[in-house]
Amino acid sequence: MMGKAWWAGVTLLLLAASAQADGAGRSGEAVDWLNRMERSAQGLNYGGVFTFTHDGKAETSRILHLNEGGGERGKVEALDGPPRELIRENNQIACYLPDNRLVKLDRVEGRHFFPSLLTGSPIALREFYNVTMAGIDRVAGRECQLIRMEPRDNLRFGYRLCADNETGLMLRAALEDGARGVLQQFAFTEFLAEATLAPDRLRPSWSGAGWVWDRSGLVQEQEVSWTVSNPPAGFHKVLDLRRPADARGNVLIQQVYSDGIAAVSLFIEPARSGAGAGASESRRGALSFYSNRVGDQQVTAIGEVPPAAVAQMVRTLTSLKNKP
Amino acid sequence: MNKEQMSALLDGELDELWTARLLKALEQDEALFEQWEMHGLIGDALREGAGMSTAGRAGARRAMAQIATEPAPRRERRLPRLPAGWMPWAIAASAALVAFQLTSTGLPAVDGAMSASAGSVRSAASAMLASAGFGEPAAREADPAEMDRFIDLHREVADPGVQHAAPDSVQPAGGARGQ
Repeated sequence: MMGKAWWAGVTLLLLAASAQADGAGRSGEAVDWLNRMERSAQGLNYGGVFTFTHDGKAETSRILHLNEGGGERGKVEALDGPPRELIRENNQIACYLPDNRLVKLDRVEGRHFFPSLLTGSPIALREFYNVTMAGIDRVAGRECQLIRMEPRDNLRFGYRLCADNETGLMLRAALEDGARGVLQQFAFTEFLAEATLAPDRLRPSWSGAGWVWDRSGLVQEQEVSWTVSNPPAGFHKVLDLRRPADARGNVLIQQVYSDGIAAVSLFIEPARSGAGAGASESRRGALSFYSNRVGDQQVTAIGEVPPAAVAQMVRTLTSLKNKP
Repeated sequence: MNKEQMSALLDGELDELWTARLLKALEQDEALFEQWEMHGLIGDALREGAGMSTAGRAGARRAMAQIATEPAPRRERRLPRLPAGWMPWAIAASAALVAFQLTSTGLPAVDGAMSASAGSVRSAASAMLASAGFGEPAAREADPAEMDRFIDLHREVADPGVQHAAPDSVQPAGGARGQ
């Protein structure tokens, strides 16, 4: 009798250990897929059409990407709305806006473009998301591996990603909230992995002759005078920019924080006299918005996270100038 | 003393024997007393409910979870010893003070009788509750036009799509004509 109970106990323990090991293994496999997605987005040659759906709208773009000797080149063309094209040469980007006869030149640092999604290490994301394999699906006529990222707290949303079985490239990225379902989504509707891609296909459709070439770009803030003392777990600053706020020379500081996939922008500018006092908040699709005065500054946070996360960032913003 | 016992003691759900045992433990262990006091403070905030946003309640719950996992605060100065019979009265007075402060101001003030470490625990609690929005008046609905302005700027750098790489609101900031 005693022997049977002992064996039953050992069997249960072994089964539990096996299930746990399998869970860890599957999670490890899911993280491997995240790594593969990012490598493929940068290293492969491909083309296709993708849509970005959000707030009941859909925006469609055509993409071409070429990796030439380790350097990245790309072209993304808006297929609806005002015409515009983004041409990428390694870390330089040029955005052609024919309606404005304008070319805006900028650098890529700290920014990413679909189908690249992550700004941090995939393995570090496991601390904030439960990353699991979730079966097989089809996107743009291709079989893809579903990966789920469920948030471990209520300060971020979940993701459902689908990576092409053949190339590993991300074909669809959906941001979802358990209560409200899919909030926004990037998804290929046509996709073609290409062994070779003629470089002339990456040329802009306009020469830009006679247009304004704006080289001002986004300026990195040199003097870091504000910090969020208690951001949601895992969020760290990835960009610190300085923008002109108005014609009087006031400055709008934009800090971007990310946990490796979700992003929140924090804007700091001199508070306007007569502006509504107290906090204001709102939601639009996946975006949460929160604004309040901090001293003589108006601070606004906006990002694809739940309202509590943006509010926490504003409430814990601290001026470094007042520190001894 | 574990968290369940702390809750039961605060809620008056223990019998006389257990109440006496736990009060004795509190009397003898300063760090435990500080934890208990903190637990009571946040428990009251959670029970208070009204006037506290969802984010506030979530923040208070996180604070409770953090307290449950954190090591006891370092003792910096001994509390003055009270005669055994005085401790329940001190605890009751402290709890009443906390409850009064929470209902009247929304945020606890620092009790002058507390030790430096108890004060720092309370400051941490205040900071956690403040970061969660406890005690803050309800926010008004944001102006949609103002929100549009920031959505454009956010998506310009944080969203991986081309449509927002140069949003409509972006005007040329000067530059050369030609090329």
